[in-house]
Amino acid sequence: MSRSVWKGPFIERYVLKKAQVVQESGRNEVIKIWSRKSMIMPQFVGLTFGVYNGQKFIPVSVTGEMIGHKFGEFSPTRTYYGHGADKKAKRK
Amino acid sequence: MTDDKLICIAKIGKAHGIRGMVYLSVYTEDTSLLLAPNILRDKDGDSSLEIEEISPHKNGFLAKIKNVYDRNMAEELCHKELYILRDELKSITDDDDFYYVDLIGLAVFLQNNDKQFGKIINVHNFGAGDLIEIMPENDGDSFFLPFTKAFVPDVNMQDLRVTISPPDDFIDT
Repeated sequence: MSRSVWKGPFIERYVLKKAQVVQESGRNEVIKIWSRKSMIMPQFVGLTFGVYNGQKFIPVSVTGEMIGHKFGEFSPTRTYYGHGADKKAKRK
Repeated sequence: MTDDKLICIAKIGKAHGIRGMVYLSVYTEDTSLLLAPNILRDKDGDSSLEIEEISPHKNGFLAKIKNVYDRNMAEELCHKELYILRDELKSITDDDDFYYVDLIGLAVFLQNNDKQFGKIINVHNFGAGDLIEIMPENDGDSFFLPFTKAFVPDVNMQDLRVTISPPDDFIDT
């Protein structure tokens, strides 16, 4: 059952606070968070969060396409990584 | 860089039917590599295997291997991994694109520090950009860093080294 629209998106307050502090400072840093269930908001675009997966903080660089998803979706908790083969990484 | 590095691009699964077809798990995006003559090798570098045709089947592929005519011959090839040499991958034109296989093993240095900090042990993408996994030289667990110009200002493929600029509190995790 989906969440009622009148409640608005769920987000932990400390995530909003931490994001605001980093945005105001303009520093380039990874914001450590433990709240995997918080929704990615439009004001987070461009920031990098370190989302805890129970063991490590996985960096999540937020882009526009990720708005509305939860942080936990980008921080897997299991260790199957697949095959590298001819995959390419792009330095942005 | 060692260009004779072997890269696994596919794995043969079960036999299919009685005419020597096999299931194939393909790991490469460029399936033309599988059909190119004389480039497929096994784990020991032997290049006797050649795929004649390949077709999509369910979630994977079916392949017909040269000189394999019946099910018994196909069953002998089960679970065999197919490799190519690093040299046979297409060259990259963009300076900011790198094959995962080239990045893995590079020495990692901190900015303004000539002592080696660690090395790259893996490259991942969990849906939020490419990440490099770094294992520090001294001890401790590996950690992830976004593969961006802000956190990885320099990648030197000639000297096989990358320079990183991690946030202050991020390394001790």
